[in-house]
Amino acid sequence: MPFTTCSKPTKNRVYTIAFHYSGDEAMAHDVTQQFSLSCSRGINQFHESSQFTTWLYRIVANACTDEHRKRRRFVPFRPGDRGEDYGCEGLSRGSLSQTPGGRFVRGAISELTPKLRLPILLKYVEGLSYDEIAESLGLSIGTVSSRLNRGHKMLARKLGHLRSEFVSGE
Amino acid sequence: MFKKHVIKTTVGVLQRRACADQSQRVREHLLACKRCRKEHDEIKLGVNLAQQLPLASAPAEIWSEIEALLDEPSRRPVFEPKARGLSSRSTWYRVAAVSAVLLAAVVIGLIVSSRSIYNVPRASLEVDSVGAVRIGGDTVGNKGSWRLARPSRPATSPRRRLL
Repeated sequence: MPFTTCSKPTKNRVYTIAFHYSGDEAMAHDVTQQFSLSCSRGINQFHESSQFTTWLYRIVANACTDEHRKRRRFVPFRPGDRGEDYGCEGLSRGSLSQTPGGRFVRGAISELTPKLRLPILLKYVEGLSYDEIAESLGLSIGTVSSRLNRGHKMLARKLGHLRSEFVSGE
Repeated sequence: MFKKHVIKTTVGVLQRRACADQSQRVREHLLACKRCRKEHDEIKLGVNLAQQLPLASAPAEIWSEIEALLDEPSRRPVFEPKARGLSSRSTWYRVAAVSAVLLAAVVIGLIVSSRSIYNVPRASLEVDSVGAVRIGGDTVGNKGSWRLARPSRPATSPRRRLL
């Protein structure tokens, strides 16, 4: 079964993408489960023409999008509770390697549109190249490049107050 | 005079994807162009911020849960889409489709029936035994005699012609 053969770092990266995409631990859990089921069911559909990791990230992206669509129909129970745990002090069960400003970045990324969020996550969590992101999301390289560019600009505008902390001379 | 802006290539330079020649050109342009410099600074900040994205490690029990789920074939997968009854959305679609078909049938029926009302009976040409000609049941004349002509034989048979 492909999922059980995945290394722990790969599994953790899948979980990280799901967590940052949704901003919600429960949704990340669901997306990870959905991903593992899709992997085990769809392994016969994997063609040797593409890389195995690209295929995996495509499944992650699809699982995230599906879960997001599913949850969009529900109204949050408490006012202000939009299914995002970014305001909470850390995760209850998982651990999050916090860096200075990491929390702000998580918050800003959660406010990006899903279209801009996924390329950013695949780039900076998985470290995929533009080609790999394009293949995973089924987009052209130009589109990926443009979405990343817009994502960077949005992040910079949202977190402009951290400029002095993060921008040093080239 | 007219300079080519380098906004599109500035990310490539920041992420070290651009070649040395291109990087040099971008740096020179940034020194001269205020607009591109502003964009470059913004994207640079965005890239630096995105690199701070923390890695989350999943709770340990999640993997054992998933593996148990995958190993148990008899158990119904949690996320398998359930065969639901008629949801309100699909019901509306069905009602709309059925009413559209009924409406089309009624319209076609009305068109067909309206055409049959104005249908004019065809004129018929008859010759009775006396020799009178009737068109649509009305006698139009009885002068002269009417006979059915016999098919005329060919003057020469094909065999004779061959000989």
